[in-house]
This record gives sequence, C-alpha cells and structure tokens, in this order.
Amino acid sequence: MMTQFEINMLVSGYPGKTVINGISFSMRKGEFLGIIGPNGAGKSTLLKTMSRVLRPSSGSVKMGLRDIFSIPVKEFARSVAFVSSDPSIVFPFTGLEVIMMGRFPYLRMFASESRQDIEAVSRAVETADCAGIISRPIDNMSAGERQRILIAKALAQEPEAIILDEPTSHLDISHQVQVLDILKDLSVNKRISIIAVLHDLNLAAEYCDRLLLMDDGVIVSSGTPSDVLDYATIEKVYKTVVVIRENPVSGKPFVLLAPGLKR
Amino acid sequence: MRLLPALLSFLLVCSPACADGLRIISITPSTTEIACAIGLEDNLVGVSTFCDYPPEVKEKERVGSFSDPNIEKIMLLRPDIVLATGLEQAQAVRNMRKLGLKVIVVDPAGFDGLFKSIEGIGSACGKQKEALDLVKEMKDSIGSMKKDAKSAVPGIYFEIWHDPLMTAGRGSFINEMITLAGGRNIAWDTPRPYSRFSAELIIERDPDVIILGYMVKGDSAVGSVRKRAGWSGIKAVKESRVYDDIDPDILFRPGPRLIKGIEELNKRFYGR
Amino acid sequence: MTFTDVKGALASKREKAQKVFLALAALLAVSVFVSVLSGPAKINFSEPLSEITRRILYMRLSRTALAIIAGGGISVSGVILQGLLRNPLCEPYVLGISGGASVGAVVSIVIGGTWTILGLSVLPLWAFLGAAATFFVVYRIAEVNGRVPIQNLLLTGVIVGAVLSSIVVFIVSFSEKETLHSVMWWLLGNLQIFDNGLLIFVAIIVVAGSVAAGALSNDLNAFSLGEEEAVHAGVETERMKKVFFLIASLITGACVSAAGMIGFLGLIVPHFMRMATGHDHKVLIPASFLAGGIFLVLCDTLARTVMSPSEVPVGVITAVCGAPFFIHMLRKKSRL
Repeated sequence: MMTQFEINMLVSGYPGKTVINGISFSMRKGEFLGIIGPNGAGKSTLLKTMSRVLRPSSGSVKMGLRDIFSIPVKEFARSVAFVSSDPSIVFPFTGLEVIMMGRFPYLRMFASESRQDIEAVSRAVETADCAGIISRPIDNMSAGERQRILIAKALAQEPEAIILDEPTSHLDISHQVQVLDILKDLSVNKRISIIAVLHDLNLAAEYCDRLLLMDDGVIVSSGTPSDVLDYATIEKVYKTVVVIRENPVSGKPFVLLAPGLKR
Repeated sequence: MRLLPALLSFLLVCSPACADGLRIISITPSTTEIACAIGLEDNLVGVSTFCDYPPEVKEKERVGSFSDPNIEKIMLLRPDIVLATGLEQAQAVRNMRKLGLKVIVVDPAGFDGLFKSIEGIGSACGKQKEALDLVKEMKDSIGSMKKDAKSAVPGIYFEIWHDPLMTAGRGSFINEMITLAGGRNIAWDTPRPYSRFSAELIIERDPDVIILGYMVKGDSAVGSVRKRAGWSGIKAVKESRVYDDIDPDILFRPGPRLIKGIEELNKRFYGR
Repeated sequence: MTFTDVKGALASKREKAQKVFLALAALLAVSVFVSVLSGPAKINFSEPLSEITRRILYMRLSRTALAIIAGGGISVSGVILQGLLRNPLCEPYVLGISGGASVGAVVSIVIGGTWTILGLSVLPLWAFLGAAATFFVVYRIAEVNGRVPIQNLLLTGVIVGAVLSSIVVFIVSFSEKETLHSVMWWLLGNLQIFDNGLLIFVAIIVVAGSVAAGALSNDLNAFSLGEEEAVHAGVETERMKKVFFLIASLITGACVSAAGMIGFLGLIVPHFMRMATGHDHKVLIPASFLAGGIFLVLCDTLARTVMSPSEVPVGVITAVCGAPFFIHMLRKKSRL
C-alpha cells in the first residue's frame, strides 16, 4: 500500500501567528480522508500548507520521499489539485474555459490544446457530470453547478490527489450527495486520494474512510468515523451536547444535536 | 490679545518709507517694467519673484511668486496701489480687493490695450506725462520699422512649444507683433490666440521663417526642428532660417520692451 | 460523446474568435484609411502627388502608426493589470506607472533642454525612466517577506500615484507659468511624432511586451481566478507577478513617453473586448490590441479635424467618446 502524503511535525500559519502547531499524519493512496473540527481549528491552514500556498515554519509535507516544496510548481500541480469552496468570480469565464485551466501544468507557451488535453478535459467533464453546462459563463451557474465545474477542473489536472476545502458548504442535500458520490467514486475506482475539509459530520462519517478531528491547531483524534465520532470527544471539541447513533442503512455513525442543553 | 495692536503698530512704524509717498506693489513682471519705464521705480515697495527687469528691481522686497502672491506680505507693506494682471491672478485680485486694497488690473490683448494700460497706470500714479511720452515713443518706433518693399511678405511660423506643437494665432500679441514686424503669420486662422497647431498645415503653408519662442531654453532647439521627420523640405528649414535666439521676455511680456521684440523679429524676417 | 462536445465547444469558440479578429482587422484597415485621408490640409488625389503632399501623407502615416501602437499598448497593459489584480476597473493610470512617467516628463521640461541621447529626445526618455522607476518603487513597497500580495500592489500603486501627482503639482508650482503650460499640454496627450527613432523604440517595446503577454496568457488566465487558484494550477505566482507588472510598466511607460497620457482607453477597450470575445486572455490580448489601435486612430482623426487648424488633445477625445459609451453599456448590462 503506497503512502500518498506524509506530514511530519508540521507547524504553519501566517506572519506573527502560528495556526497549526505540530501535526503529523500520513495517508494512503486512494484514501478518502475527512478533516473535521470547529471553526478556527486550523483546517484550512493545513490544506493551504499541503497545497503549497503557505510555507510551513517547521516540519514537512512529503509526497513519496520528496518534500513538496522541492518539487517544481508545475510538476506538483500535475499530481495535486485543489478545489476551493467558492472562489469569488470576477471574470465570468465559461465553464469549459475554467476546466481548460486545469490543463495549465501540461501546456506550453503559445501551444493550443492538444488531443491529449481535450481527452483529459472530456473525461473530467464526464466524471463531474457537467457536459450540459460547460458553455455557460460560471457566474450564471448555481453553486452546485459551479462546484462540479471546479471539480472537473481539478480532474483535468489528472492528479493523484485532490484537496477540497468545504466542497459541499453551499449546496443543498441532493447536490451534496452528488458531489460526494463523485469524489467517493474517484477514490475507490480511480485510486485518487481525496482530502476534504467537511463541516457536516454526518456526511463526513458516511463518505470518509478516515477522519482527522482537529482543534486549536492540533489533531485531537484520528481513525475510522466510528472511532472519531465519539460523543465525549465531539462534545469536548465542539462544546455542544450531541447524541451519536448508528445509521440503520449504512451502519455509519451519525450525530444528532441536542438543542437547549448546556454541557 | 492686547499684544496684537501693539505688534501691528510696531510693524507699521518699521516699514520703509518712500520719497514722494506713493507705495506701489507690482506682482507681474510686465507691470513692473511699465512702472519703471515711467519713473515709478523708487515707488515700488514690492515685486514678484519673477520680476527681473530692469535689473535694479531684483533688490526690491519679494511678495511671492507670479501665480501665488503672498497677501499677508502685501498687506504688511501697506501699498497704495497694487499692479496685477488677469487670469492667473484673478483670485488674488479678488482677495486683495476684499481687503480694501486698490488694485489695477492690466491685461491688454494687443498694442492698443497696452497703450491704454500704460496711460492708466500713469494717471493712477501721477505720471501722466511720462506715460504719454512712453506711448508716443513706442508708436514712433513701430512706425519707423524697416520694411522691404521689394520682397514679398515672408510667412512666419512662431512656435511656442514643441510637444505638442503650440503656436500664437489670431488675437495674440505675437500675431500683432509678427504683422508689425512685416511678416505674415501662417497660423492666422487658429480658434484661440494660443493653441495647438496641426503639423501638416505647417508643411502645407511652408513658412519662410520659423521662430522658436520657448520659455524653457534648450541647447539644440533649432537642430531638433531640422531633424523632425517630414520637415526637411520646409523653406525655413532648407534655408536655415529657424531662430531660437530672441529673449522670450521681449516677446511675451506686455510691456515697453515688446518694441525691442518687434525689432528683433523684423531683423530675422528681413535679414540681419 | 463528451469528447466531441468539448471539441465542438472549443471549435466554436475558436470560430467566434476568428470572426472577431477578422472584423477587427477590417475595421483597422478602414480606420487607417480614413485617418490617412483626413486632416486639415487638403489633398487632391486626382493629380500626381506633389512633394509637399507626400510629406504630409508621411506625417499622417507616422501619426497613425503611433496611434495604433499606443492604443494597442495601453489596452493590452490594461488587460494585463486587470487580470493580474483581478479588478476589471484597473487601468495603467491607476497604478502610479503613468504618474511616474509624468514626473519624469516634468523634470525633463523643468531642467530644460531639447537635447538628445542616442538620437532620442530626452523628454520621452525621462518619462520612460520615470515609469520604470515607479514600477520598482511600487513593487518594493508592496513587498512583504519576499512576497507581493496583490492587494498591497493595488494599494501601493494608488498611493504612489497620488504622491507622484502631488510631486508634479509641486514642481510645476515652483516653476514659471509657461513651464507649467508646457507640462499641462504634454500631459494631455499628443500623437504627432517627429522622431522616427522614438516611434521605433516605442513600437519595439509595445510589440515585444504584447507578444510576451500573449505567450503568457495561460498564466494570466490562472491569475484571473485568484492568486491561490494560480498557485494550485502550477503558476510560479511571485515570479509571474513581477513579469506581468514589468511588462505592463514598460508598455505604459513607452506609450506615455511618446503620446502623453491618454486616459480611459485602457479601461474601455478591454471592457468591450471582454464582452465581444469573453475573458480568455489568449483571445482577449490580441483583440484588445487591435481594438485599442482602432479606437485611438479614430479618436486622433477626430482630434485633428474637429477644430482644425488647431488640434484637440486626444486624451480629451478618448474621454468624451469613451465615457458615455461606457456608462451606457454598464447601465444596459445591469438592467439585464
């Protein structure tokens, strides 16, 4: 079983402010890893460091045996793609133009799209189920459509791993399920590793092979959803009273809120 | 608060007094020249930083720049009369009048206006006779300007600035001076006295003489005109009659020295 | 199935771009024709051309050439800065670059001189140096820990621009009023060019800069989704920011040095081209170059004919023609 990412004693953040403070974990190729935790836990900072937007102040992120910061930018982009939750759109490119941008790390100056590029984009469009909308400008799309376009863009990069920051946060339940089904399919059938920050604990439990629970810049707990979603831990981290039951269909744990009760 | 009147009277006592009493401040170079030409030099108690002729006025008290005269300084010098010009100084003139100063605004558009202005300054400052004499002298010099009856009237292009091309056309002092000096301004049809001018018309109208009247002097203005793409065929360029050697002050300052300006132009038009 | 869909969509996009290019090329040809044929001097084409006529046509041609180059250059520079800073309201004059050029020009006018260096007259050279120097100053100020956040760049540009224009006012107010006039005239823009060396110099910089920007249009596309998106796509963002900003500065500096400040162009032309071609910089950059050239050629034709024999500053024409059109389109767009 191949290791995809190896994170070792990672410390990272912004000038004058350390956000994540000594995180270590590793993940297998093709694993669907969910990162959960309350606001301000450092989830996004972790993703930004893993995708080279932020440079760690100490510790390392390795892919295979190489530190990711020693990999040329374009080469890195060919193996790791990133889907942000909902980037603000200033210029309304068409869906196809956005997906085409996923081919950036493969393009050379002046060169127009090769047959290979078109094939990769077509596969991405098919997988993300957005063939009907690629000609529309992205500011004319619903949040769910836009999310599928962005996933298609990530797929067009033909990566080994996709990192997603709250991919379902603006979606209704049918689109949430649609997007996560696509991601699950990628991890199971295409062996693409998925690392996603998820706010909905129940969705995280349903889809993820493994969960990392973060709080205050460190990992509080990690393991299968049943291991991590323990009511005592969740109540402590989220400072909210919860009840945890088992989904009768999938056998995965699900979290119920107990409103009005103070811990 | 009681200090203020005391301070003011102290300043008033300390201000320099003048021979026959009339205290004049001139805040433009042209009125300074007019005042000195009619014998008011000793009455000038303040001038602008741009006033430099006659050379003696450089010793006078400075009351700020041309475009930004210092009203406080002017008030402290207790002038009886302030000589100013229009346009750029309109705001300062309004302010001084509000403060009760007597301001004479001199803004002639041509020689008739200039003569009237000189006479106006003369009568306001008790130098009527000197003013009339000066005007007569100027008119005589203009009348005696040498004109070559045999040759045709030369076409003149007067360039005020090179980028963009600016010239003096209809209604400008320069236009009148060119005519008085015996030339024909090729930019006679501009909409405003000072305006941009189309380069291709200069080529089409093919001037005999080009006068460069830049305020800012360069080392090789004439050379750069010769080098302009498309200009080598102009008669003035071919015959090396492009001149930049006339002091801009005698061309642009509406005062007695404009006569010298006309004489210099006349020399360039009809050979030295 | 999807493959043909994608291929078809790309092909139709290419077809649309080709149509736009064809239309722009035709318009450019027409506007050059109109420009060369109009002017205050009457030209009779039924007779063989006289020496004077030939010289006049030559001047109109060089003027038209400068209009194409400066119009195209300023528009491309606008496109680059808009994409880089992700702000469709950016134009070269927002970022202090042109302020630097005008300080250079003012200094050159005030210290005087019409002398030349390497055959180039000194004023354009000063303006160009001013623009280039401003680029470095803005970039250094905006830099934090070896990185230049886009927001810093925008803010620094605006502030440096404001400082530079007050420096212009300061210098001008301490010089004679005639100097002031020369500076004002220069700032308002003028396309009559007498110096072939300068024309070639500007053309080389503008064309090289535009070609470079076109070659890097994929990077610019990635940037216009956001800086982090660009990192994720594999763009070396810090290096490319410097490259794009430098290209835009050089192009702007060169155009301002030869033609003075011509406002609005860098805003309107890219805006209309975005509507006509979409936002893909591969198409947008060449289309904006052509459209900018057309627009400035036509504006300049107006500038030298409406008040003949005098000329109207071309910057006034671009603003007067451009602004109402721009407002109209914005209103129409917001109503839809």
